[in-house]
Amino acid sequence: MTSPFAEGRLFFQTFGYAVFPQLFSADEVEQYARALMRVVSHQQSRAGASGTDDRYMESFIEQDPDVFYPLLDDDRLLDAVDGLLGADSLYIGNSGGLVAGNSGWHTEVAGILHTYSTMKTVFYCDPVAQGEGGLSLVASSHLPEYSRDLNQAVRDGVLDINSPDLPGKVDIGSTPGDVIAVDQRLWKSSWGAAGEGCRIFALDWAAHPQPGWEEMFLGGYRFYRRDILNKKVFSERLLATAGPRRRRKIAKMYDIIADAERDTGYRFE
Amino acid sequence: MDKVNHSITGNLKGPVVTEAQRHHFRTFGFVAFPQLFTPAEIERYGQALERSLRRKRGGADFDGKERDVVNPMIEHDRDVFYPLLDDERLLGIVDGLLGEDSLFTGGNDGNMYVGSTPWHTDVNGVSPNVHMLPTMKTAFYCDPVTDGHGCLSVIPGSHHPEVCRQLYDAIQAGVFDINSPDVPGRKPLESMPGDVMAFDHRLWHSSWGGKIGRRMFTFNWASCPKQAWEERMVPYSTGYKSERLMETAGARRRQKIAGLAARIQEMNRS
Repeated sequence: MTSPFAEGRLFFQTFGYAVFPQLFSADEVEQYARALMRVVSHQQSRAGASGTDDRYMESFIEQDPDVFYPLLDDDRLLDAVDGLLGADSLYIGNSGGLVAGNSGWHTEVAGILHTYSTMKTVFYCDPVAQGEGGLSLVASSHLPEYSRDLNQAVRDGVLDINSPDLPGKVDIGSTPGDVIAVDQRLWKSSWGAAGEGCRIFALDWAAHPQPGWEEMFLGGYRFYRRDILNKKVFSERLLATAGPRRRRKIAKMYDIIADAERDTGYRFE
Repeated sequence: MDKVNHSITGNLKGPVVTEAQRHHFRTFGFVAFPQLFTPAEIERYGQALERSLRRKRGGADFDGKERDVVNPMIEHDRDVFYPLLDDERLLGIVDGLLGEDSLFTGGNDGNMYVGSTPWHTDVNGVSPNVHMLPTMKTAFYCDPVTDGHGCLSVIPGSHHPEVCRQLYDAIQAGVFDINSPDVPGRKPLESMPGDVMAFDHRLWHSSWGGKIGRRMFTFNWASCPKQAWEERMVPYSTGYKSERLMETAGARRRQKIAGLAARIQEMNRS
């Protein structure tokens, strides 16, 4: 089941995901895929020197801003984001690279239960299907009561995060050009990505934050990526190259980061 | 009654409900208990159900035009159905999922189904009103049912009040159609005679297709209410006219029908 734009927001709020089939052309996505592989190859040659393997990385698009930054001005993508999170929603980060094997069941918010909606828009650069690297998710599991009970079942050892078999599982195949939007609180997984893995990148978004906890959450979101992962997103170049729509999507984050740095004395970005 | 009790407790070797099943019910809102009864036992209940429905129709054959139902079913053949309320297998499910102090609400029906049943909850049908007190249905299918052929479909997790309400909003806005099985996460629960399905009344469920006249009967249960508002949430049935249900009860049934018995006595007095 896909979500037409008109009904997409309520579909997304209810089930925690939405699919936009062929929002981009396969040729466009192939261009991103080639850039992705250049980034991964470059990263692997550096990793070889340091002894680490970093094939899926935070702050991925910063490795090739000429190719990827224009996506943040793309009306097709921004219309989809605005349709799900509102026209005042924010861009908050990105990731990308190669994903192989099984991910196990997880959320992007590490068990934190809250009502604030943040979202990934995921681009699969290769065809994926159930059990072949495709996304599996538990519909409606982004809602805190349900997520709490899933957490508890995992903690008590009665739900195996390493088994794909889970009631309510929805398998979402994808062909290059599709964009899949997923609430970051949703329980999700992927299984059976073979070989080197699937070429994937994601751009992250948030509903406009209320002052207080939601702004603190976004500050912490950036702090984690800057200080723990040593990844910077909100650079001068991101702002300098921005068109008007991108500028509206990122301006608030510069304020949040500046406030958080001032309040805590830490450098977030 | 003691003789009947001993003949229907089956071969229980331990608790009916495991810890994993308890978690499953709390998390997803349903649990299936395969072959808790024998097919022969279920066929006996199925035939009693058919006799009850035929009596209700004045001896006429089932015309298959629409669902036929008796409610409360157990009043239509007390000798056959009352003992189920003493059966340790059924009561073991109820105690395991809702607690040993849980109660029979009196709600039960016997059905011969026709066609599909659209998405609904057993709290208020298609409604945003949903309560916090766990209440539950146990369903027995007397005929084999499969996906698209009459089996129960559920939306796992939809008994959580915020999910339940969100689904209602989505239906109202036309995001999905209660008359279509195509809902994300739909889980078909196929069943053979002898299986028992337990599901939270707040869970969104439906059934699609299936042969005309497929037989199914249910019993309804509630967690023991601890507060006044919870007491008001127990959906006691008002269809009982005699007190024989209490008079023939063993100790286990007596505990389960205590709330219902008080309600019936009150009704009879008034």
